[in-house]
Amino acid sequence: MPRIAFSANRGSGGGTQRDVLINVFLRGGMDGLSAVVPYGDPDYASSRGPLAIPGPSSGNGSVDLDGTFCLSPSAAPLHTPYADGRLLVVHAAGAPVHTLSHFDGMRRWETATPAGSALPLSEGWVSRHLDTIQPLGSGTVRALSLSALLPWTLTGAPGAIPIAVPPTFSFPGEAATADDRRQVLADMYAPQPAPLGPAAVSALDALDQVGGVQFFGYTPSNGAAYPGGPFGGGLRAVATMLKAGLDLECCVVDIDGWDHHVQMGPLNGTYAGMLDTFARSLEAFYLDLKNSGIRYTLVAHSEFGRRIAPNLSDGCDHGFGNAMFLMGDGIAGGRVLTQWPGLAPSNLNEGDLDVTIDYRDVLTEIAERRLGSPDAGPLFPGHTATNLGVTI
Amino acid sequence: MQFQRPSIRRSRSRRSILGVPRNLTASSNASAPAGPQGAAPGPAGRQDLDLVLAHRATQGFTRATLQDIRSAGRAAWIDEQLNPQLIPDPAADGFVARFPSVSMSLPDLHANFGTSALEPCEHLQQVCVARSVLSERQLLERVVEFWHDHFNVDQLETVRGRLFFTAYDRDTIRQHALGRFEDLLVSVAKSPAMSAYLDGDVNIVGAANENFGREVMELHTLGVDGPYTEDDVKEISRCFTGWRYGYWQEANPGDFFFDAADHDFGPKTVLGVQLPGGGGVQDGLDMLHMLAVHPKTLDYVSRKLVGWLSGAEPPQAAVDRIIAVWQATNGDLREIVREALSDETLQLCAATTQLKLKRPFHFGIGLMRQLGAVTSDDFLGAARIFELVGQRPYVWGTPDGYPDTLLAWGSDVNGRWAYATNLINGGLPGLEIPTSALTALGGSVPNQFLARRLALEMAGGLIPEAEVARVQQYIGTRPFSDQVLRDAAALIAASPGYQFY
Repeated sequence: MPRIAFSANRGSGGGTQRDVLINVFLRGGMDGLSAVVPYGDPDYASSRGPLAIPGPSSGNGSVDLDGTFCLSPSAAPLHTPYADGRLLVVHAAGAPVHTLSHFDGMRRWETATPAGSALPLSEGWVSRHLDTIQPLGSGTVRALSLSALLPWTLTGAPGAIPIAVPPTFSFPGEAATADDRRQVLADMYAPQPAPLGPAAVSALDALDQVGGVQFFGYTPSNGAAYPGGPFGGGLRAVATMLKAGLDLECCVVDIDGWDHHVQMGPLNGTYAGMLDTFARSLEAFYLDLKNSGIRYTLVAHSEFGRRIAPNLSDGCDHGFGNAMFLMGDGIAGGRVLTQWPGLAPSNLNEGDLDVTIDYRDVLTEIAERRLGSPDAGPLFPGHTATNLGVTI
Repeated sequence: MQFQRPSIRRSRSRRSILGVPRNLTASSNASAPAGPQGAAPGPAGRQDLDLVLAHRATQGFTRATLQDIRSAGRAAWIDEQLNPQLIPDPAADGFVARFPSVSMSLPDLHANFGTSALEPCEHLQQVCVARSVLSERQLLERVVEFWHDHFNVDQLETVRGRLFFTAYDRDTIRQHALGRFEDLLVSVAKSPAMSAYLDGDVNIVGAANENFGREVMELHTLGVDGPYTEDDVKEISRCFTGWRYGYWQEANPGDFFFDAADHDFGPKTVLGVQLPGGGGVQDGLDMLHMLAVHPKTLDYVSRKLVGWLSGAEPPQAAVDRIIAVWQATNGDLREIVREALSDETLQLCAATTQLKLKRPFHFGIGLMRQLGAVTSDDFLGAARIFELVGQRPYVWGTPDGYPDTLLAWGSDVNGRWAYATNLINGGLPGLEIPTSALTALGGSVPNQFLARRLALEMAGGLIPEAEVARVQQYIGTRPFSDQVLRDAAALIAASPGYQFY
């Protein structure tokens, strides 16, 4: 008895003009310099040394973007949405504080902690956003993370639950007694305070909504081919749920393991393999939803970039400024948006690419122009946003 | 080979250890309805410190443990648990003995499995589950789990570190879990496992790698709000340059080794302390000592430990008691744990803190202990399946360790419902709850008392009466059967009250 609510709110003819946010977190400090390579910066090759990626003229498969930046060979699939004007790279972007700690950096980013705050906040910026706008649907399942634990981005959010593998999400036990057992759980959890009480309401509703989606046998559109593995499978599951009409407002999908201190391999090693998975997954998601009428904005980022100079282990230590990736029909893409600070030693911030675009400026515009936020100011406390024109 | 906990537990006489006569009749009556000693269900159970201890000082509550605490007395029971080497532990020892990799030297591990084999990694995960389920040294396991999180190493993060983890668990965490904090800290810093995990082995003069230098202050000692700066991170990292271990092709592989050629002998300043040049290996040791006795370390680690054992976000008065013992004993962890579980600390925490949410591992291990789970694959499936609820042993990726907060774990309830229901119905790989074990728990009571009996067996008195009554209502409409018994146990396990301890 799945009770799937097919939304009239999203889609080409929908009433409320709001995108679902797909937030891809590249955890571990992804080296954006090896994905969107500043090959035209005169200091790049010398400062990156043995890990520098040659530009397009080398014939290595890099794809030129604008004469200054290119996609490295493993990032080349991103050129599909880029060429359609639907993928925007925001470079030398990042957080306001130069923390080099992964978890401190992630938490501050995800909770949009003000720069001057000694301790990070405990509520995600998306949580604040969802708190301030009407749900698209019934409100019990508004946001998912494809993980065992809810990320900070969604901590405290109404109607947010983690579902690690949506295709296997189901109510356990014998079918004959399932309804009765569900009712026992619903009754026991109803008086519970947060987080367990609301989590149970969301879980019981998600069992209907997500449990009613036909994941197996799903055929992506437009020849989209998702890579195997958890990230490709995760974006595929998100596309399946959106096409099934679920009223989701945010999905967080992680791709972990970018902490390449040792043996990074940006051209054909570990990093290159992971970047290939990332790029092909985004390409597949783009093609799959192309012309579907489903409104989405995908934002992919890491907590910080990596240091320009490699260490002696053929890796790079934690850095600062980095590339962000925005994708969707409402994104003013097909270009690299940057206020490039340059890689000359005098322009670096403690040896790192500096941050010249605050990620909160990017997200403020996304929230207001694509996610239906009437005023994104409170989502990013202590920050006065500058409009960058990342959206159409 | 199969393992079933209860029969082993009850076979051991405690008389010789505690000098306290054991009431065997009471023990064999553990399955009787709640007697006069049974705590009333509901929050009142919070005042019953025997019950609190049975939940907090173990990897999972059992009625047998509660009986042990009641008959021995809390202080005597804790004292026994704090001397684990004196506790006979045939079930766990027997299990461990069948996995030779767990006690192998690093050269032997390398010779038998090669560098990258996953087999010894899984052995240790299986042994982790087995010890948690079977061991009589429950408090040791609880403390070991704390230190594994505090000094987290992801067992599978690096290929070069895989084998080291077996030595890390044995020679660092278990060796010092109830020893001195500074010894534990130094052992961690010198361990090849931590070195490979946080890149200590590539931290060399002229290109200091800051990974370990940052975490030793942020996570291991001072805390994230500690009084250090980015410059301190850079400087302390220089202190540890040249700290590495013998590589496989070298003499004494895996042993700590100071490589002077890679060390930065220049002067350094950390937290305002100036180190003149030429210090060598002593630079790092001096830093570890400074951090081990730093007031911020005592505060941070005491707060975290009492939060682990006695109550989330403990009151300052409870933390101060731990700090006082730390100062008086020079960081003797045995005495610190004793104080964290003392009546005074437990009462301070009970008065001001909420019950804690069981982490998924605690939740699952507890069910196995309470329901007499039997393994047909030496807990291999059990170890792997914890991945689905987010807490497979030893594989938390970031150095901060598995979280221990309501906020972190409180958003996924269906994962717990599914784990419990599938475990009880034989749907988890390699695990079974035999009908005989379930019948022993609840088969002999009249149907109208079944939910109450199960709640007492599985959680003492901590599940609120209204929830027990709701499960009883489900039972009440059905003729008794093994399946009803299983459904009832699964619903008790899925109840809100069971999630807390």
